Amino acid sequence: MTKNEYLARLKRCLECIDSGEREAAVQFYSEYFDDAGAENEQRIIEELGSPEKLAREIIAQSESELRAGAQSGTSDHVESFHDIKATLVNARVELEIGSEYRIDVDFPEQVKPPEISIDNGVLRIVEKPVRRFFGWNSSWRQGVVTITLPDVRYGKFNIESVNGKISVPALRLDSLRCETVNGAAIIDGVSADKLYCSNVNGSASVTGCTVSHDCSCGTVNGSITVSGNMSGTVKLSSVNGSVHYNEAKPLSEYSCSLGTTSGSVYVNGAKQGKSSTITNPSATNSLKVATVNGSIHTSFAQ
Amino acid sequence: MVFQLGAALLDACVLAVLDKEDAYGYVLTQSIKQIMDISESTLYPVLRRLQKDGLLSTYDQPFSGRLRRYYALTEQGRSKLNEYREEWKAYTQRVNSLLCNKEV
Repeated sequence: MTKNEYLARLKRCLECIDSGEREAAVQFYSEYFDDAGAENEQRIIEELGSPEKLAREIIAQSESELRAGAQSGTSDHVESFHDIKATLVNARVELEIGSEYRIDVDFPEQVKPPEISIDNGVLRIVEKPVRRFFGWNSSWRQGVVTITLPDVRYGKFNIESVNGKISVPALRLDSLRCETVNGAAIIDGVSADKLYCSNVNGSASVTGCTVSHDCSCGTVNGSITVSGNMSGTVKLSSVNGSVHYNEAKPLSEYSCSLGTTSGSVYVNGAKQGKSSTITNPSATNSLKVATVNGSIHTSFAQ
Repeated sequence: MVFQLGAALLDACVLAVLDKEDAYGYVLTQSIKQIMDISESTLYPVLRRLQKDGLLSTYDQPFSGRLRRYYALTEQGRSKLNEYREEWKAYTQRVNSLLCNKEV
């Protein structure tokens, strides 16, 4: 390994820390090699140990600083935005309608808070997964990101959290995408062209929503509840959860395909076959529901 | 070295080296290595921490077509070093009196 290869690997291993910290560390060791002289390059590489090991020592230091730092904050009077792109790891995300734009972050001390930026009308919130080398901290708790925003029409909101619930109130927007691994999505009163919701171990609750084109919800181990006025294509699928669908339009406006392996299928309270297809030639909307181990309950305006 | 090196003692020695003159990463590491058994990788996190705590400041100086980052003691660093010196004197006296049967 040469000095340059060593420094490049070190830089890659430091991806998870603040970019300023990373540059400073790489700069330090770059100078260190220069000052030691080319004849000592291999000796220094041997003495420093692998870039991975060196990176761990640097990360350990910057993590212990984070422990001492302030962790919760409010950014008042943030500029306006029309899109949200949020990628979180151990945090719950709550959207709230208010009179102005505001972001509140409440993170536990031992976790690096997310990076927040607003650029070209896009609010970006990124929590980087911290590589832990010192085992589990018993005082672990989930972070909370609260985004307050006025009631105007928005563009695209993409919100992901690995371990945390996502709540979205009655907002109007072009498209909403909520994804979690271990957390529910609670979407209430949203009006959107497209709505997409995916939860592995949490339930998807989409209530009182109006979706004009595409509504798609999928879970592995959670139930799916959808109610409101849906047009276009509605696709709901779950492996182990039940699906409840409550539509404001009459059944005559829908073509449906409803299937379950070990559950039951109900349409307006009447039990159907495990794999039911309802075709309405004049219908412009379609509903597809599939579950393996859950039941399907659908009801339409009578 | 038989005796364990504590973080505070390392901090104190780094401050003491810089009390003599400002130094850049490589020479600073070599100076410390002469008296203590530390690995090459130990010092950077220490310097970074001392800097964050306001005990050290840095400045860059051109050297053969590149920049060298020098570390210097701040006023706060100097008073911390004096604290460490007092502590060290008191501590070594107690250890000496026991270990070497010396009168305090």
